[in-house]
Amino acid sequence: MRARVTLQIEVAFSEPVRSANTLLRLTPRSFDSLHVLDWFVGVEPVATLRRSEDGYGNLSHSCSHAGPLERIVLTAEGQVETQDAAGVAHGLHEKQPLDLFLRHCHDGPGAEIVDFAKTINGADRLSRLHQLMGALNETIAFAPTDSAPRAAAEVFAEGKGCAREIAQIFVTAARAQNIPARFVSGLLLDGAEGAAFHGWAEAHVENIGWVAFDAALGFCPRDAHLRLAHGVDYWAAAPWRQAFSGYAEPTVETRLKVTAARQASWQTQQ
Amino acid sequence: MLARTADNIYWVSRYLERADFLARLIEASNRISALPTTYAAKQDEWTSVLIASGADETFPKHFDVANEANVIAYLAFDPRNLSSIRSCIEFARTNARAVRTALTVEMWEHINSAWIKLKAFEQRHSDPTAIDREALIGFLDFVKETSSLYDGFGYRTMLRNDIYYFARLGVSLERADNTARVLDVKYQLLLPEHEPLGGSVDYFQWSAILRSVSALTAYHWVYRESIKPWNVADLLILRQEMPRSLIHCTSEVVRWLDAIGNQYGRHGNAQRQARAIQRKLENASIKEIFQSGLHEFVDGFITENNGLANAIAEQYLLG
Amino acid sequence: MSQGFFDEMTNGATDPRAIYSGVADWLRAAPPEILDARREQAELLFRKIGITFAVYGDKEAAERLIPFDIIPRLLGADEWARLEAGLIQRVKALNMFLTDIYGRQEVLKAGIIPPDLVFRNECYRPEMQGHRAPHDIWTHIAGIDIVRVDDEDFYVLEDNCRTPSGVSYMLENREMMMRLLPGLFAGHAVLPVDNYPDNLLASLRSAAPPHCADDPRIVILTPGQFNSAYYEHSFLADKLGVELVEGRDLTVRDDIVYMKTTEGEKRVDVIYRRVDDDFIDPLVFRPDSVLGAAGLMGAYLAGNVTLANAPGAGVADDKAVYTYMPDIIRFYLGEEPKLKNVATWRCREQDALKYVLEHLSELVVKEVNGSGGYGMLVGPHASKEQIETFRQKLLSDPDGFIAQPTLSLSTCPTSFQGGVAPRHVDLRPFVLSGADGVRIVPGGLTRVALKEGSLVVNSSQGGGTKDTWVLATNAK
Repeated sequence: MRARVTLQIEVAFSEPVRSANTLLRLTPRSFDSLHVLDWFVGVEPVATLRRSEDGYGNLSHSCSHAGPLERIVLTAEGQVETQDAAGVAHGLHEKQPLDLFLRHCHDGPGAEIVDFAKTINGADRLSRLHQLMGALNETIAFAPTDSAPRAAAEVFAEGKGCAREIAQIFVTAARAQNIPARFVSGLLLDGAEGAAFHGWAEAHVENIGWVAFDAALGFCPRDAHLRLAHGVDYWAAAPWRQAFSGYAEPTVETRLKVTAARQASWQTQQ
Repeated sequence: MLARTADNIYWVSRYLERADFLARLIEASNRISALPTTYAAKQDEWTSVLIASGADETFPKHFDVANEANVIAYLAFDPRNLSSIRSCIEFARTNARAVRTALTVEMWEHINSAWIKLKAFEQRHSDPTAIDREALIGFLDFVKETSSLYDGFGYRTMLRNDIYYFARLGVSLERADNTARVLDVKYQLLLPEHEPLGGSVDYFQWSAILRSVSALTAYHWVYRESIKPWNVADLLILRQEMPRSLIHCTSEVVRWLDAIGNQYGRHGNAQRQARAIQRKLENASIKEIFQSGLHEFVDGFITENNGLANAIAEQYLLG
Repeated sequence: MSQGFFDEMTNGATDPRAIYSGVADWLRAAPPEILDARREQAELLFRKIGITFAVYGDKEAAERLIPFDIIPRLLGADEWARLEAGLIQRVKALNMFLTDIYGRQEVLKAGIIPPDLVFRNECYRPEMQGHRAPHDIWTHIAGIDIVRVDDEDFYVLEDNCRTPSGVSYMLENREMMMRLLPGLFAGHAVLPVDNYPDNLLASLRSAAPPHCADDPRIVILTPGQFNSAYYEHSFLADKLGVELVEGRDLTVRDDIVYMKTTEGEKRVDVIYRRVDDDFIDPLVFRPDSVLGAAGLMGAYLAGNVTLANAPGAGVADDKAVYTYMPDIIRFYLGEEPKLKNVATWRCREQDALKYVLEHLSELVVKEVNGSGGYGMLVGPHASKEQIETFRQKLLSDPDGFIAQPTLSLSTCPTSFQGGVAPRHVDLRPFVLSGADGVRIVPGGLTRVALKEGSLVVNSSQGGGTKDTWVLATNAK
């Protein structure tokens, strides 16, 4: 599908803060099933946005603000064209070896998730991953939110989480099965969710490569998942991170607007 | 110098000065409460001590009755009271430890051993509400000595640069605040209607006020007459030669802020605000103060002094 | 004297080794009261200056002294020369290894070391991939733990490439000895260590980013006064004449690091950080950390500030990577390692695991990612239950462990209330790497296991320290 996407994150501080530093991973990178036609990232109040490529190959921006500062508005918008590749993510810019994505998650896998992973016993890796996605989709209730994800073990124990939390569990369980897996953060273009940010997982399958799995929705991402960044865990791929100095409570409001653009309507001679 | 270093040094001074003030306040109140009941104060002595020390809001959370044992325990030894003597010494030491290399060896070693002694005292007296008067007097002497020695070591051993200025600034600012607090709590006793009628019970209150800011002897040297309430107010507010008077403390604050501003080649808000307070005191007379209201005057001073402390923090300490 | 251990004073003979003759004479002549008196004096002095350390999980003794032993530990000039050459070689290889891992990864392509050891290790920082540390120096300050088992060889027990501590004790112990036993000290030609702070400053200056050719501003970043090594941080800041900053003193704006001073913000060029990777930047690593500065990694990656040691350096001091160090040295330098490695079973390997499980009561088992003597099993001293617990741990996570034979660590005479007896020791020399070469002062921190028979020298586990005297004269 072809869509125009506008994402806005508005942070309001209860008291003016002395300074704030922000890191954004809000710029998608084209690969076989995603073509980024144009893309723009902005911040208000105006500050220099420094663009760089992180250790995974994600495009990131960073900026800093000197206070007193009461609010910051981050905007990302552009036009993208996505294709349904049944979750297979080919043509990605890879900078890290598979081994990295077998690493135990930061807070340890948690005994319950390991036990759960053991119950998955399909014939081959791909079928095990589908089984895992199905099982998680059944076990963990999907409750969309934009607040920061909790630890995988905690969410698993509660049996309820947002897409990004469920993706973390998927990653943890896949690794417990010795399958390289990583966290992907992105946006959902068909607006089926009550949150702007979405998250899913990618697992590596021999002879195919990276395949995306969305355990929260229970299917492999098709063309409504806009991929922003990947990393060893949520924090490495988080769409934005911010730290500020001052005693204030931030209130964050995230707005996502997606308008489906028409397909190029004139066919031309091939 | 790091803003945080200045902050730590300034607060070591403030906390030690506050500990010293609390010790004197407890001592003075102890004297009053030891008087036979016929001389006893009209107002509840221990409650006013709580107010003067700013502990009246938190005290009821931990105790039912504001009696001598409870108030002393709370003001002197209670770790739950963030402005108890114990907390002040602990915080002073924590601040000092964070910047130990900015202090001279003598200052650090002194405050560190004071803290070790404090721990030892706590170990000997596990129930602070059961401390007898003798032990208390020993403890209060130790507290006064701690802050005097720290001052003295600083005076003798520190380089005269910004580090020293911030240390002195803390002392002067805190001292001004403490004197103003005593005045604020006891102002009714100083109003003109309290004419001394030979052997008034108020006499002991006035001398207690003087004692709490160690000005009893100074009073006699300055006025050479028996204690009159307006003189007490004059001494504590407008007498430049009185080291704990509001005007003297403020002049010192101006002096140290100017020294800092000169060293850095830049004067700012803090300097301006300090000079404004100083001017106001210089232009005041005790008669006018009484006419327009002693309470309002002192109250206004406390607010301005706090505002000045915020300006200092903003300009130098928070970075 | 303990059986079967190399005693550095006697080597099992009645007469002391030549370099120890002075110490032996002194010990014979000094009445026990003198030793006791000196020991008490030392403790009093240490407490007064406040050289304390905090023990995690021990609230009562939140500030404790590390026991100091007044009998020096001696090394001959010839012994030191061998050790020094080995240390230089090892630290060069460690820096080259790190440059390679975060760069072309030749060592992996050549099959010298299994990639999963590197990439599955939490200390490998993907954020650093493709980045070149300024001047290719990753571990500016390394502490290499050395043990002896005879009068010939030095063994490396462990490499510390992150934030090794203990150097303040090396310096303070020397001051203490010169004050307490001036006669004994003067009778030996002891090589000085007190130029360490100058060397450290020179190394840090040389590692500054290119934009500040003339006068880089250097700071030491501490987690704060409740950190166990806070004394050392403030000690070093004082000796170096640099600011001791905490994370909240720093602010990063447009990829430039500033410190907040009473005169406004000042740009910072080199940060000797004593804060772990995980905590240095809440935007990149742990989001809940308040010990670092937001944006620090961005400034670092932009080349505007040097972090010493570099983020990600910890992947080289991993206990599993350790076992490959001899091969790593051969690979990069084409030389035979001058210091030996302790024989190690990698429990990740089937055969090794089998052997280890069968010989738990003889071996020392260590967690690959543990430090400070925590998470460690000393087989010969362990109870049956402890051994069983470790057996289970090993079975559930063999990759997480290595095992080594119980080393016959050398012993040195050590003084106690009313007597002198041999106790096991190790040595941590500090190796400084700058753009202009490697610097080592002759000496290091000798740690001594004060409990009789104990092999654990860590201060958090009841170890003490000694002054280490490298003499101008040879041992042989």
